[in-house]
Amino acid sequence: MAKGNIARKLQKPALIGTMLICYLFLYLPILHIGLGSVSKNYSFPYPPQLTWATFEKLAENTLYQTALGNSLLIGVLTALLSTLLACLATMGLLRHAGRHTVKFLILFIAPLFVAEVLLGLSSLIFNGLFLQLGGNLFSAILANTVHCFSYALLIIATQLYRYDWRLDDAAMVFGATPLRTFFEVTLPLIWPGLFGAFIVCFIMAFNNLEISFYLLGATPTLPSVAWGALRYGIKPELYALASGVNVVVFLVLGVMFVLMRTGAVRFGHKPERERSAI
Amino acid sequence: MIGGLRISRDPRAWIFLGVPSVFLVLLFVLPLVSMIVLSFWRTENYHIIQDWNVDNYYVIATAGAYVTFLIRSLVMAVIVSALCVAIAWPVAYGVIVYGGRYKLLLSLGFAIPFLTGEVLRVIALQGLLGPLGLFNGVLMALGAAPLRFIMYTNFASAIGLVYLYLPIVVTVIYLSLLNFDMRLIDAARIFGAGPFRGFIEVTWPLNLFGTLIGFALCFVPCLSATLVPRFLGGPSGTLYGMALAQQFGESGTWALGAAMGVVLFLLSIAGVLLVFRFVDLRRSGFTGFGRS
Amino acid sequence: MYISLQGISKQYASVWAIDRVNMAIAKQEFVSLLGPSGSGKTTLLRVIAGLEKPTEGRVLIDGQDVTELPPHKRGVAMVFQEFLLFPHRTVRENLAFPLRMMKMPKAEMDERIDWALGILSLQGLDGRYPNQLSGGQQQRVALGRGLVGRPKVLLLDEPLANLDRELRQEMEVEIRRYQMKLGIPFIYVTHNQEEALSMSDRIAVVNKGHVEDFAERTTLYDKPKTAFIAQFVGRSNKFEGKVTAADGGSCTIDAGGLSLTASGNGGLKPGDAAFAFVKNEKVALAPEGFVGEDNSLPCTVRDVILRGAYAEYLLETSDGLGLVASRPRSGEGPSIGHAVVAHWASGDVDLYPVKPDLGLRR
Repeated sequence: MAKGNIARKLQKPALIGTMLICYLFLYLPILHIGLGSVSKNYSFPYPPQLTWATFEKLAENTLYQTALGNSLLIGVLTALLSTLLACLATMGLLRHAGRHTVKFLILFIAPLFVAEVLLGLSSLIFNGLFLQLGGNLFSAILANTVHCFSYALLIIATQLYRYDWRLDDAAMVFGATPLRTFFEVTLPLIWPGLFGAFIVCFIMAFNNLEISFYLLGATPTLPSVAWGALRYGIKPELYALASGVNVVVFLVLGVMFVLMRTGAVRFGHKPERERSAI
Repeated sequence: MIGGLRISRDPRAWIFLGVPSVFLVLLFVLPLVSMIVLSFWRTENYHIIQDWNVDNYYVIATAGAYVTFLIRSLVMAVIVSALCVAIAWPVAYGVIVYGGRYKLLLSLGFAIPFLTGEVLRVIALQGLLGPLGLFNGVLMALGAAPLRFIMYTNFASAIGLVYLYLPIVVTVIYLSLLNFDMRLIDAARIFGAGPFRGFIEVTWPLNLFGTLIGFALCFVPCLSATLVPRFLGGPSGTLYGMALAQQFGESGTWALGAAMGVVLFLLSIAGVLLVFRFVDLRRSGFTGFGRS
Repeated sequence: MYISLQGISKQYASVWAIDRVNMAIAKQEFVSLLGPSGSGKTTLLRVIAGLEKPTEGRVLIDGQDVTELPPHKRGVAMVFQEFLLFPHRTVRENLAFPLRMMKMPKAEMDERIDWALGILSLQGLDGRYPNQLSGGQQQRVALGRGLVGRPKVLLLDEPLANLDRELRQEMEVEIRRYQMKLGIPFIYVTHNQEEALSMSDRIAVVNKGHVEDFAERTTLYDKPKTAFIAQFVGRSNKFEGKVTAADGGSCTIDAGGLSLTASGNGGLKPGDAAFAFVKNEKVALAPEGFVGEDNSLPCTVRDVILRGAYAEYLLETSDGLGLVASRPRSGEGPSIGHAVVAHWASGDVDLYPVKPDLGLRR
């Protein structure tokens, strides 16, 4: 039994140690370049010589401005479209697919298992060769939607899975039309899932390179501009750009965290006390 | 609920399931089909010529470089995915067991790096591993020689890929464990299983499905990685995905690229199917997609 | 009739969950659909509500054919087993829901809600959310939501199944009271015979998708029409055997060596296989050596189960045949191990022919 005791005693420090090392591994580079982006000695900012010069330079660069605009457009439209489609698809899967559920599920999550670069390239071939369409923002948005749709589906499904559809029955029995039922009962109860899916899709599409790259033609986006610059080596602007995006992502997820923490929103996250009910 | 046949009768089913299906067929299935079609044509001086042949596949199979890249990619993808799963398990388990009220914060902590996009994270990795990066900066500040093996090698690529895909694997396994009823472990303990035995008999099989999804979601993008080998892999680190992307860029040999894409696609599918052959869904606690 | 179901059938895949059901319900009536789980009673209720569309047959409410109408155009209301209160709405908002759907003016709406809060003693709770209420309070809100819109019919789907026993008996009385007060039909689905017997005017016993009998509750209890009802309603001793003699007035059955006499022959001929049921409370006990009446059987008391006002005696004959007698607890009954004689009148034996079980229609 002595062996078991040692294993038990070691379990906690070992697990927590692994966790800490992983967080360090993930965040060390992010913190490092974050510090680098606000330092004159950007490549080894220890001790840092603080300056905002890099960010100012970045903000004045018109190429980055255009790219930011395009990336925002791709992000917002992709997120809207994929959330809408994924919401339809999830409700269809849970309510209407019946014995065909598995077939539809496979179709809907298949894009997860096809590499992004293949999604981009095959859309390029289809558009360019078979439809004779040149690359533009619109085709990039559609291709990104394919990819984000599957993620949105999974996020919305975790929320809808626990939604009791008999609440819809209850609303209809008391005189609500199907549309009214959706807006009065279903939507208020599932919007956190939709909102979470929208945020995640937005961030993913905003930052995407491999899908968008082949479909954009000459249109710059932030990742493609960064990629272009990276080919000529690391520059302080790239650190600033990456750090800027990191800060925004942090803020967005921070807001989501506060909403979840205060219980205003759940995003399909199952709190501890509910689990005993299963 | 019994309702298997409703799909054909209820017009709403066609909107809910039909619209997304049509969307995916038009923008996902058809492009993949067109890639397959193109792979049987050929490119000459940047022009596509529609004459049906299998030369592209012949080139891939015989020109040694592509086979080398492919094998290197496969080995890389398997190693990185296995490594990610091996690291992700204790981390996800630790978050669940010891996370307490910070569980949510800790799990979101893994989602953030995943969401910041590949390019920006490759930039961050350059900051860590590159010649002017943190590691070598520290070593040089201490007066030591810079480490060669973390710059522009396959090892650096592997670290880069683990860095990119560890978050998604942790998140997937975490979600699987979150839905797993920990009281089952107590039940196993009561009936005489030790901690290790309990893990093998109960925890692992019931989370196998989630683990394999995590593995697949790491394996597929690793197999086709283009950015990491390009910026971290160095001259001997060319991977298949990178060579594939080149056919559509500098070389302009689209047809060959399409054939390489088809090979990659088939390999990913084969890999995923192989992995999932090990799972008996009924024994993995998977309850299906309907309400039980 | 106020509500009429004409030849309702509902097919799922290849199985008929409801099979050619005909019922007519009057305006002031409290009707229960009683049956085991899976018998189709809830499906029948959902067909009336419009949540399921029947494969065949018509549903008429107040003279109007509503078969093709969706639920929100039927003017019905429902109380669900799981309550299904809207979790994002307060008690008041939940009660307001049906009224808002009718576009009722605000003042009238408030009046109605206050009325519902009043009769259900929910005053003071109207600002709470459903998850801040106890099970009994949630049940009252669910009931209030059903009553507040004065529906043409109130459908209740096992509304008391999730409550504890004490609360359940209290609610039974209340529900019956509201029904008499409002004068609208209640259709009440339950698998609990006590609930059905205590509240209903008439009970429809549902089994395997069809209605076995639809009758006054006393008729159903005292003169069960089929073997299924005899077994499902009340507590009975069941015997299976062959008819040895039958004439116009009586009938003798041999059930594994035991000879039973019944008055009336239930259309049976000598040689037919038959079921005989004797309600537990019709079995009387007498001291050892007692002879008399039509059926008497020497037994030993194996166990005594206290049910409050009465006791159940688990008896066993020398052949190992078990039977149950329930007697009021007046004075000292026989105790465990005592030899007694169980006896009952031939008029208390209900006889049915043994029919092959066809199951659900396919």
